[in-house]
Amino acid sequence: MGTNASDATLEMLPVERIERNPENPRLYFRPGELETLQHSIAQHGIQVPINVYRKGSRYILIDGERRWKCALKLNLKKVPALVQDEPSQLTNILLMFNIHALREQWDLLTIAVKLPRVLALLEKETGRPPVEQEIIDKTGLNRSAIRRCKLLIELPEMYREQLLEELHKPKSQQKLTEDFFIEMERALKTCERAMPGLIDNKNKARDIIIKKYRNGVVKDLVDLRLLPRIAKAEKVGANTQLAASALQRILSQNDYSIEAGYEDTVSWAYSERDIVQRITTIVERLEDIEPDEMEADVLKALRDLQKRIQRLLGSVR
Amino acid sequence: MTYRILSQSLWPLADAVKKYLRDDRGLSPIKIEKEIAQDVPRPILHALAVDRGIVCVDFLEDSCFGPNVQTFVTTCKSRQLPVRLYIGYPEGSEKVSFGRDLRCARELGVGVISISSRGSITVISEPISLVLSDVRPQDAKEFPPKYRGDLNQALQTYLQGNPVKGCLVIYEMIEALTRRIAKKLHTQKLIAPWQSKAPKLETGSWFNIADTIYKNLDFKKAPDLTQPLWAQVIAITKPRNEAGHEPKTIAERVKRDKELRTRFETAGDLLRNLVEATQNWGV
Repeated sequence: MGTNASDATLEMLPVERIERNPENPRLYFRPGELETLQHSIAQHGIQVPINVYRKGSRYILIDGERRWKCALKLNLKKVPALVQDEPSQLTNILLMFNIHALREQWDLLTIAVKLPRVLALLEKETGRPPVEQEIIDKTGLNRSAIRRCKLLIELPEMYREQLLEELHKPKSQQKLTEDFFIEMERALKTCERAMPGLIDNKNKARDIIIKKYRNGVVKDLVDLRLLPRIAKAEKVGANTQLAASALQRILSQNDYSIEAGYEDTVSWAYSERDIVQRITTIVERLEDIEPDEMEADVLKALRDLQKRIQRLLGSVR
Repeated sequence: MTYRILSQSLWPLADAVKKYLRDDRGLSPIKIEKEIAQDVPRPILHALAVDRGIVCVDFLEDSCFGPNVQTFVTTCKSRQLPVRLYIGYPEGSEKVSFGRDLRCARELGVGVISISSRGSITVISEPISLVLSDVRPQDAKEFPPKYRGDLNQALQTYLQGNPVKGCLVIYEMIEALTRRIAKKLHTQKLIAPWQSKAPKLETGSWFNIADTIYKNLDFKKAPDLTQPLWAQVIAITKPRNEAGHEPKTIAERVKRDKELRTRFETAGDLLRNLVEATQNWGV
């Protein structure tokens, strides 16, 4: 990656001459993480040196921001550090992606905010936009994380700021999460694809969903997954006109819940499809069973099922 | 200056507390993440109070006290630092252990502040100077009931940041007891005829009364009262009359707090010994 960590020298550096890396996408540290680490460092000292590069008379962190913060808090004068040469911009960012993101310490927005810069620097280096596999190889992120990041990157800036603001709040005061925005974006995209022209103002739709989530009209993220199911009403043989009108109500009225919209339109159709699918599965399984090999409990369950089916069919006119 | 140590999620809380300390408590300048003493963990905020005490504030994401708070308290106590520590936490983050945390805070002498998402401050409890909180209190149950109220008042005054006045309450208790003992000795004629002008037992100076008894009492006739014990009474009349000087530096404050702690504990011991020695005297 353009710098060789094996050339690094181990030194005891003054804590005050170390600075956080401006390229570090990690914007926030959970206090709980720091609490535990601080206690450990107070007891046993810094066991693993931090990684820095020299920049004039200062040192810039590559790895070990939490250890450095704890050292500052504990008022330690010096910390052990591996000092490397200054890396290139791209190497600097990629180093941090590989060091931190792989440890799953970063929140997704942290990565998403920095990803466009990585893509731009990669494009500058190779003269063409990187393909997904190249991004995976260079950043150490998996495909799913990259796709989730892209959903966050594509959010209009006002919503990214809203999310950032939320993530800066203490956990107890947080309501909106990265997962919420990802689920919302996926749901809206599916709705747009399944019913083109349904959403004429996407930001208005976003605002309504956010408001409903904050007010508890949308109870949890699972509710958001019902939106694409309503939009795909045609696939389960439900009334698409009715589904479209329910979606419009959901995306424009503050008190109409997604759950209610689902119940009013496609819930029964999905239940029926589910029953048919299960019956098909059971029938397929039964075809594999020899009557002589049937265990007593299977036999009993089948007889119960038979009675129920007969009762049900008997009441059908 | 921005915060380097504090998690970003707690920055608005720290800013709100900083404003509160400046506007409502008159503390200035308020330093951010600066050293208060070598080898002592840095508080997020600190400021020097008029009495040369150091008001510190640290922040937690919830109301639960971790071991780091205890470490900070222990370090300040062992270094005899006149620190008053508040712990700030976001309102609404109280866990089930909140009651236990508050008890823990009280025991440690730590104050608790909750900060709402709009930045309004609620002081749930006030801290006490950590160096003072380590004082060895007298067990009030070892004293007759009539002393217990004043003893408790002395301790509370001491702990709540006025150690001079706390000591004074005990000195006054010893003085009052001394005068009652003198009266008793006088009426029982246990004191040899006054060799000099008789002191006024009600209004005369405390030192004069104690000194006159020391010089005139035949200690063999009052065996419960030993000469060394009475010498301690005389010795304590000096600090009793000393006017407390406000410390000008933290070092002076540390020195004064150390002396006051010794005085408070010594005076408490003397009072107990005097009470025990005269328990059957009806004084």
